[in-house]
Amino acid sequence: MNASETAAKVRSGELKAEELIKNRILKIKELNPKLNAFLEIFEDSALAQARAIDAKSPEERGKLAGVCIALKDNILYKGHIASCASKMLENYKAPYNATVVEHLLKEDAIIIGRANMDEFAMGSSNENSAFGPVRNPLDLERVPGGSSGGSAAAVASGMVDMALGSDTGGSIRQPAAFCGIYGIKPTYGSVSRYGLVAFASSADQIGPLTADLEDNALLLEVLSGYDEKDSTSAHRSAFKAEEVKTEGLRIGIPSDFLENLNPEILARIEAAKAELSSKGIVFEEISLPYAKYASPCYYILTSSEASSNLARFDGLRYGYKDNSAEDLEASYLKNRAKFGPEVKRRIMLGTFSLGSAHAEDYYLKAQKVRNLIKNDFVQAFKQVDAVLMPATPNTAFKLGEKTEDLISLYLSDLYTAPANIAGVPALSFPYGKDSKGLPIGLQFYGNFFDEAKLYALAKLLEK
Amino acid sequence: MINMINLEEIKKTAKLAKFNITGEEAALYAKQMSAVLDWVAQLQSVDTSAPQASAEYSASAPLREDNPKVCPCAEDIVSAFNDKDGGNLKVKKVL
Repeated sequence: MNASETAAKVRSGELKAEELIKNRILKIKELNPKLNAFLEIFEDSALAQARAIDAKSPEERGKLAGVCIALKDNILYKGHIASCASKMLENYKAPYNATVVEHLLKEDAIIIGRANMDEFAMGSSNENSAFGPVRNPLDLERVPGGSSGGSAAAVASGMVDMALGSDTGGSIRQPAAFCGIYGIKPTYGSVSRYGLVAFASSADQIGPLTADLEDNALLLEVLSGYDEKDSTSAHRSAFKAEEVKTEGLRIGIPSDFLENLNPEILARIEAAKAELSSKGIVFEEISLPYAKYASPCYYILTSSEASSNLARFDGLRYGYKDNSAEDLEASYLKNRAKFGPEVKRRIMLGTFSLGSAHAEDYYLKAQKVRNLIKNDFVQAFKQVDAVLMPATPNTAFKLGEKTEDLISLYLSDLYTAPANIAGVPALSFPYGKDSKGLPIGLQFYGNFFDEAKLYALAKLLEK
Repeated sequence: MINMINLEEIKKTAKLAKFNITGEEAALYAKQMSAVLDWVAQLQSVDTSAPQASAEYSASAPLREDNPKVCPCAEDIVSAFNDKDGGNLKVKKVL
């Protein structure tokens, strides 16, 4: 039963939200000690929500009535801790709701807890959490991907129906691929970032992770729409999962960007191409000459933005406060020592890239290349409706396998970062397995605000 | 490595970022950041003289007007401040 069906049964009264949530809580308590996907279960507020939904009349119950959802730990839910999986915010209680949380509550989704993540959303394996790594439910020796690894593991293990993640360079789509589920990075500006702890504001987007394709589109409907509280919110009505006629749609294959691709993943691209061709989709070769620069571009730009965004965590405005310091400067140094190693490294990189001696060579150069990458996609979508590419260069790797090799870890974003750099939407979907039995994720990239086409194309490949 | 950052630059950057780092950490950061900068150096080979490679990036949506408004949760936010004295927010001495 997918979430849409669950919600329909809760709305009609056939199922009781309270019973559903009690079962979920039992399941989480059983599975979470092994997976570490949840940092906290909001047992009391979830049960209170469930009872309130059951007490409503069927007409009053929302679109997601009784659906169990996890929030990534960087999304604010009033009165609950939002720690960004960091010691810096270990006890930080959200003073207000994120706009996406308001949307969820309005539609009667039950927020069951906060999902583990890489600290401040910086990472591709979830090993950067200050509260321990998350394990991949399909193979406990392997990572679930990151940074929304807790969200992906919670969905893939069946602990929740849905989860929210955030994606700055692939943080929804890469864990979705590693865990064999669906994850979309919506068009920049389509989902409000109000109440999402900022990492890199020009690239951050909240989006859904689900085991079911239809559920993914349903959740995006609920999340999206204009919000005056987010200055980059697009003046458009919310996304609508409408029917799209797929016959005759054109998909681009960027061969220049797929050079040296892992042969097992390439074989799945070929298989998807054959299956889609048999269903009336037309394929074309396209060129994305600058897409290969998206990863290095991403590291310079997002680290630069992070060095500015994370300046507020100084123990005064936000974050851990050490009371032993004598003066303000000493207090800053003591408080900011609470950041973990990857966060410090990225703040250092960003500070360096923005420094007067280096800004021209690093930050400004990356910004110029960003525009060339965006232009690659603008040109491509004049020719085709979507672009097919892998979600990740490899399938889920083992815990500890890449901790010593930063560049190799950073290259996990190779195929996902271009969407954030260009601002376009991209949907990661499971499509087969490798020889180790691990899921392979592919992606459809689409034109700005063209998410409906991506869902329609993925529907053709749904198993 | 071509883009080797020296220890002085690492210490200067740490100071700007308000991090207190040990000599050992400085050496580690120098090594790791040099590796990252070496990798991102590939951006230097990209010709960015074309007009579409402007340094001004615009997102998919135009920004809204920046009109100040009263935040409905201002009180909640102020109440989250660590240390207060009456109506004032307390910080450590600056000088």
